[in-house]
Amino acid sequence: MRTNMMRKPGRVAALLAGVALAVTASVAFADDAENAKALTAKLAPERAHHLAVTWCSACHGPGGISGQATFPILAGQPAEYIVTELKYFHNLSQDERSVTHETQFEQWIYNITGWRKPYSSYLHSDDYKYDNAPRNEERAWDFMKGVARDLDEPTMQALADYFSKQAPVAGRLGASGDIAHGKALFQDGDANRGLIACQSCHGPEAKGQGPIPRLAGQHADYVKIQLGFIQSGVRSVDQMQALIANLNQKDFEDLAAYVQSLN
Amino acid sequence: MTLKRVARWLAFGIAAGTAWIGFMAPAQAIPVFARQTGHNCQACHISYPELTSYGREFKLNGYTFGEAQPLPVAAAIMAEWDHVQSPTDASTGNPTCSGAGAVNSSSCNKLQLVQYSVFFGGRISDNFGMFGQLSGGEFPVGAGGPSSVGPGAFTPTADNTEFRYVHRIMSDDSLEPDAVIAFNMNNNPTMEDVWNSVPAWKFPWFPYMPAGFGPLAATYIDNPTGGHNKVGIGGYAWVHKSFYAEFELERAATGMVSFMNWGAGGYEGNMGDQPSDVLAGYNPYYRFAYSHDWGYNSMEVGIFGMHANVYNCNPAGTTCPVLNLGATNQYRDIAVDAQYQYNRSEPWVFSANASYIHENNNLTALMQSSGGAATPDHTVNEFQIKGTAYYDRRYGVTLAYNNTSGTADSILYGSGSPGGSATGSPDSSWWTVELNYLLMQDLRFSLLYQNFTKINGGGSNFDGLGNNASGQNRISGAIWWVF
Repeated sequence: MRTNMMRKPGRVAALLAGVALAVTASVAFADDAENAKALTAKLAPERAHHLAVTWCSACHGPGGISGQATFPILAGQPAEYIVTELKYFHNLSQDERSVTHETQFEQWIYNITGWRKPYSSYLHSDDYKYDNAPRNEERAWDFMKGVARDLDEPTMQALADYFSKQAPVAGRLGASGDIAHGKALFQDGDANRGLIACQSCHGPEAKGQGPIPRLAGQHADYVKIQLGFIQSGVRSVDQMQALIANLNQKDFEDLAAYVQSLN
Repeated sequence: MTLKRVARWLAFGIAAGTAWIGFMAPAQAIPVFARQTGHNCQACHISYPELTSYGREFKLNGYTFGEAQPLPVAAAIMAEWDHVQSPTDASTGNPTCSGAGAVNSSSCNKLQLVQYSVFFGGRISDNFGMFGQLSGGEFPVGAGGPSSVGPGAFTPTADNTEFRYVHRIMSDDSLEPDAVIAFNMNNNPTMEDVWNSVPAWKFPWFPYMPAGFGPLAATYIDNPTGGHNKVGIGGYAWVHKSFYAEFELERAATGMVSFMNWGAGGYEGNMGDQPSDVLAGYNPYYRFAYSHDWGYNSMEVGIFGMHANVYNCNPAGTTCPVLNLGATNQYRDIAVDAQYQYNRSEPWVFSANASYIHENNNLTALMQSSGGAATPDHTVNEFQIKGTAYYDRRYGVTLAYNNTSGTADSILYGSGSPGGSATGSPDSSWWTVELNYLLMQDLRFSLLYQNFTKINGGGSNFDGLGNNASGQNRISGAIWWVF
């Protein structure tokens, strides 16, 4: 007949075994987590390439050269600028829980099912009246908030690398606007109206650098509309808003025509 | 036991909570896709269901962009109010108002829930996606509860449903797919198409119910009788984002593919309660289109057509076993279509569509079985042109002109009965104007006015029983909410 004493070592052993198993498992899982992270980073270029060719190209065109001015040309954009914008859109998608006043219950549902109130509820909230919605910003959000929502950082970086390495588009004439005037504004600024030369940041050939976008060859209509939104604060670019405060639509059109003409 | 009870309560709570969230959350057009892609409606729609260039790309890529959602479900509700001048019943001199919820007075008014739908599906994998829809409807408001009057019933049945398996042809150097080739299966000819000039997706988009007397002639492809009791199996190629070629074989929704007509009589072996209009054998459907985008513009020209052999199972009401090797009526349809869009959206968006469908049919079977036609051979031609403008994505107006013509047939086009054709001619023409207002991007109010200049061969007294085409002019209000 077994006694309690005889059984105790068994219990202890079981306990120890259990703890050991748990520790091993947790170490193993930790390793897996590390591995997964490394794997994600390793696979990012491949995933990014697939996304760029199959999905991004649907709007931004082959190699990031879009045909429609709704969608900016990405070919040759500085990688840092692309990543900055992608993160901006990604953060918008992540912030929507706070701006849509998601309740705790709704968050609980989200945590269990992964299902979240759609973004449009944000548009309908008091914070953001659909009536007053700046259209072009909406246009970007129509598409990009969703695209960036499911991107991780390595993939964003890899996408940026992909598009920054694509051959840039050639300059094109034909946009309405006075190119000579646009050129003067771009290269020399306008001291009387507080505009420093655009080239001092965007570069003499408007090729951009770091977080500053390339403008050369960009769709004139896109540039014109963006300038309007930066001026009115719809698109928040603090460094630029004050500088272009005194420019008018004609100036925007001239500048846009000029940068589109650049190679 | 306790665990079971907890599990049961948990399941109930999740279901209730999910339903509640689903009900509370305003959402987006075909919100299954909006949730999947994170896009707003206007990314894919000029105004649902009219597709933008990107919307077409999304569909042609098999609904695979974005991330699959754990709960890929959405819903839509459509309600309608109609007012039409009196279609008079000659025998009594009283108005005869048709359809669910109709109220007889000096004119016809009715209010009804036209349709509700549940959508499901979307992306399944990188290469595989689906669009699923179950619909029910015709619930007259204030007229005695659910009704099964008309083509629909309150119980949901399969609506437009399709599956797509896509393969993208590209090399390592490709900057975009050189071509997308796909296998697809659907339960409505032309529903798989991406341009809004084909019957499944042409204007008007709201499924307005018949109000007064209307044109009796329609081509088979525009009005594929028998609802979703047919399944198209085939494939398409979308080459260089310019050329589209598609071929499908349409067959009855029986046997293995009977689920495509879920709830409406498609089951193993025969069509059960389908009284007629079952496709015999395999019927070819084809489609070629050329599309070109430049700047904010997009255009398309194309042709499509179908050869359909349809079992004649008259007299109406008898069942139509597929194994019955009975006689068939034959329809040969061919159509040309075109589309133009300008989608700058700052603040205007314009679109225009046109289609012309020509049909030669042979209704010998109908003629012999029930005397439903006076002559065996007919032509039917349908023409539609429409233009749409949207301002600020919120205010829309659409103007359309329709014309139907064809061979006269005194029996087929109902000579001698109210609303029929006194001369046997099916010729009809009418104008439609629709005003739209989007309170939210997923809630649309429409006001439609239809002006008939000619119905079934005539303008005034077209049926020989005192009814005028202008007497059928209608005003309809519609609400379409998707969530």
